[in-house]
Amino acid sequence: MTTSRLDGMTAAVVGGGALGETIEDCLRRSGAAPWLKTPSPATPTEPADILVFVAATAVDFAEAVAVGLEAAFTHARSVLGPMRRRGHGAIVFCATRQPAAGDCPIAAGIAGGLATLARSIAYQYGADGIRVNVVLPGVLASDADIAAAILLLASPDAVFMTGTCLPIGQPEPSRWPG
Amino acid sequence: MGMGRAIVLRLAAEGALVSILDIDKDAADATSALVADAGGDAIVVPCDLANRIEVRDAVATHLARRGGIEILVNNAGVMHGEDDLVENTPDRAWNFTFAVNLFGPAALYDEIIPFMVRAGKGAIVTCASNAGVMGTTRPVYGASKGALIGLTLALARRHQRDGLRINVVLPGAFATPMIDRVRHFPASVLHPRYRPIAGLADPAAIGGAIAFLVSDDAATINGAIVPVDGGATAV
Repeated sequence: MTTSRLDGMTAAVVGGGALGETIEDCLRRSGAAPWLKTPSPATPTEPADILVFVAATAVDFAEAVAVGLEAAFTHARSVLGPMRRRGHGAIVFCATRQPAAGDCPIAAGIAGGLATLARSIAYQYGADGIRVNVVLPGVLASDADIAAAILLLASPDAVFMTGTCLPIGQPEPSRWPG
Repeated sequence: MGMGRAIVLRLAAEGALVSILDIDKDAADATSALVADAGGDAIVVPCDLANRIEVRDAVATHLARRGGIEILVNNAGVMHGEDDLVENTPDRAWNFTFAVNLFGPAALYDEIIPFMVRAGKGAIVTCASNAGVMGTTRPVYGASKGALIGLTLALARRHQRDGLRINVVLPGAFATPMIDRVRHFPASVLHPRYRPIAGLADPAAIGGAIAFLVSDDAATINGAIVPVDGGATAV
């Protein structure tokens, strides 16, 4: 499909490694001015029209919450004020990859937290022109698939989508986000 | 009365031998006395759920005194007093909320589920919140509960063949001390337009759903999300 152009839009892509680079490339080809940012929560994200946060993974649950959920919160927090003052903004949270059969409590916890965080930000900031959505990549999703879904949610094509969770490449419907 | 006391009173009335894990020993002692007055049995095990070592010790104390554990109700939770935009929410609100609401229950899962798996039997009910499945004015509280739901349901699936049943209840607005402490509680959620059963609920109303879910009457119910919220999530 042809997604709306993002000409003139600034976009911060936080985390993701190779996936982050794919997302950055996708955004650039759509006309946006993206930059990659390390996911360290210690440094705030510069003001941007679009924030894409890609959750990192960890084996330890507390660490996974820190790099997958708390970091989403702190980066969103740093861009929301400027977005509100500009009167527009799009945030996309990308959950950690969900394995088949749902037997991964850590990934499920991160996905559930991101889903609810997105809903609350959507609720609080919807009137300010800010949209927040989540993509839930499954085992069958390639980086290109994920980047395409993120591009949709970041673009004006998704003008009436906020607080949603979009599963991509999952072998079965996921119920994790509650 | 908080929901914890209401749950303890109901489970003890049903015949359960209860251990109350609570950071507030005085309140737990008062609950224990109420249970004793009613002819039940509830001991107090002081415990800060945000402290991993205390959780481990508390479970060990319970096992030493009771000899087993068939039921776990994860009820403890905190709602930060501040009700503000994400951009104005301090780190301490996140840290405190997640320490109690997410890592507390996760620590109890770590300590208790292996025991239940070895026993081949166990029923867990975790109190999340309808704020864990909806957008609200409390993003940090909601995110902690959303994460708790995701974690809990995945464990329900993982242990479905181990003899365990793990379910989630979503309490809505109950007339509890936690709600009393919350400033600016939005009046809109109490309006019938947003809540078919308007008004703050009596905490006793949570006990019935939990007593059912941990009982054999619910033997085929696993991985369920049960709202007990006056219909707030239904409309």
